[in-house]
Amino acid sequence: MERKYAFSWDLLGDIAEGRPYLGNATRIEVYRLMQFTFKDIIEQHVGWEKTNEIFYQAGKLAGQEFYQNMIDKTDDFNNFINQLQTVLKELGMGIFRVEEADMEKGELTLTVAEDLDCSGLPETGYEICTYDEGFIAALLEGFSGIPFVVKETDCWCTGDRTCRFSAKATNEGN
Amino acid sequence: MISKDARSLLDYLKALLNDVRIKPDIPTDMIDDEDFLCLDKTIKSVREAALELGKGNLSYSIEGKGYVLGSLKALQSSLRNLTWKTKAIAAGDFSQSVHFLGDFSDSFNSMTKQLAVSIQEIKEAQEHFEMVFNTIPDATIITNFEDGSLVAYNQAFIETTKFSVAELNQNPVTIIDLYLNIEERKMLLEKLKKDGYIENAEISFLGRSGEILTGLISSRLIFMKEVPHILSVIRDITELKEIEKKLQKSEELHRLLADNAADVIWTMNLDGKFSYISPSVKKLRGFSVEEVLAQSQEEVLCPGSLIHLQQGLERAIHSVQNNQPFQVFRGELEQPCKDGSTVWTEATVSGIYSEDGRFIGMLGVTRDISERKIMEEEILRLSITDKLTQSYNRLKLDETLEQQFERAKTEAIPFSIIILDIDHFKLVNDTYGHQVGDRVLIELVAALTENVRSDDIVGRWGGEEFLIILPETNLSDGLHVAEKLRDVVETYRFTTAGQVTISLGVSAYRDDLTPESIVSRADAALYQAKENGRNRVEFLE
Repeated sequence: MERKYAFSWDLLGDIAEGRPYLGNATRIEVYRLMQFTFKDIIEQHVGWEKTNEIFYQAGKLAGQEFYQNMIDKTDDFNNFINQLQTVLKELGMGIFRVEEADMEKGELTLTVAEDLDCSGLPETGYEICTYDEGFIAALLEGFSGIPFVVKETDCWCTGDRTCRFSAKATNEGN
Repeated sequence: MISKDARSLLDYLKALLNDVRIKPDIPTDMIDDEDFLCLDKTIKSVREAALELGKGNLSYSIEGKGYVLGSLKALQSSLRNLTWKTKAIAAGDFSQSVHFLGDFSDSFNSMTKQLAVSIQEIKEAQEHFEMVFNTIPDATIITNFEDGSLVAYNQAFIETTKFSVAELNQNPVTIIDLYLNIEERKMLLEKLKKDGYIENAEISFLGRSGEILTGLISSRLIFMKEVPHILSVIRDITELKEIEKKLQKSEELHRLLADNAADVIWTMNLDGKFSYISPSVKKLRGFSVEEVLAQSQEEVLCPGSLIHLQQGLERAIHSVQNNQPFQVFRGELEQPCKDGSTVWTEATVSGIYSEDGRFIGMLGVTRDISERKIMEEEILRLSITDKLTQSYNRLKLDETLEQQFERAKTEAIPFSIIILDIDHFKLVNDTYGHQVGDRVLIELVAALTENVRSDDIVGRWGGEEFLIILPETNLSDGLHVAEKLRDVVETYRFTTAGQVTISLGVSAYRDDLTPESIVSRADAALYQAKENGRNRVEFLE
């Protein structure tokens, strides 16, 4: 298949040069406007489940690139989490926290408060942070080298105040 | 006013929120109302979630959705995150910090920082302790108080006991195995229990091959994870003890020799005090060892000999100060005895030096030389005594004459001499024989000696001629003495020979005379006395 949109980190562009006056700052609404309009149109084309899958995969690709470009390589889990917390906070993506982590078993419970995607959204009755799920799964895989499946269990959109994600290592890569 | 149904509903909801036990039955009118059932379920979920969170059960799964339950989940999430962070900190990760939890974040982060500093300080203290522990030159160990198992040891312990690290790792050693006498350990443990420490207790312990080692152990009771342990530093004094034994033997041998020697052997410090004196001093001076050790220098030596000791001490101090060897002293000393008499001794004194060449005192040997002294005096007496008459001989007379002349010359103190000769002595010999003649000579000396001063010197000048030296006597007084002696002899009745007379010539010192000319002038005067009829005194003008 011919590809025109293969992602690379360079596609984020030179912000300083391109936006000398406006800079990096933008409004969350703009980000959400784009995400939810994407969802709308894609859902119309491929349906709800496929849309979720697309966003999960897109989040995963973002997570892979993010890990490669924003996280220093480390074998220390705590150090990895510290870096992640710091950079997510600095970029205004959310307040990332670990509730439980058992890397030997490959089981984690993670939360993101003030999430970029959903915090403050009206209740929809279903979890919508599929992009986050893929993003987190890729980050964990980047660190551990083991594929993870991440599922959102609590979401602002289901009436919770913090997004909670359950992550489990899979044997996919083995 | 509200209806009965509404009252019933309110009571139910009130009980749901406030009572410990909730009423099991939903108001009958509401049993089919879905909204009410949803509300009922949410309130019950909130009750359960609040209850479990209140108990600290963070793993409780909060069921349901909605704002209140969501907030409780957020609280649960924060608490879970804090738990995870606390575990990470407990595992030593002090990079953990908490944000977006208000004042709690600051307190928590401050506590983490302080904990990190404290742990770092403890770590540094531990590293410091380990460095000191490992580099301390004495064997240092930590043992379990109860079973004596060796918990830690340093390189010096390995070197002292000759165990290898591999051996100690493979076959753990307990300190109990290393005690030669286990009773010693029991006593040490008792003291540790009582005082909490032991300082420099001497113990015997075994090395790897069973060799017996001696050590000075200092211990402290310490607690490691609340279990009592003993930190011990053991100074290996095995070699020192061997040297000490040899020294003791050597010292005993030397003391045995010293104690049994006839000579008095002693050691003295630079302050002039005896540090040792052999018991033979009792035989020499009558004082016991204890008495002598307590005596002052003045009590040890007679005044004439004290100067030797003082000079000896000065020389010793000078030698020490100038890093010069102590010169051996040998001299005769007069020492007081307990019975009031004195004894002449000959002392030989040499320096005592430490192994590093430091002067540490004096070693002396004192020998009784009383008999030798008497012999010497007798020899001296005989050398200046006329054998027949026991008066002084010509040697003594010449010597005295010289001395008096020098004294008169330098101090202007006069002296006189008398030369006398027995009149017609040949007739005595011819008449009574030489034995009577000799007897006359002897009795004459006795008569002369009795009638002069003790300082006056009476000697035989030759044959029947005698010379008397009168110190501090001018010519006039000399003439008086001569006349007195002439009279004494004239009136004396000699054994067998009866009356015998003497002629006397007197001369006195003058600064224009020599000793010889003084004698010549007395001799000439004697000749004149003979010429003038004998039994008389003459002098030259």
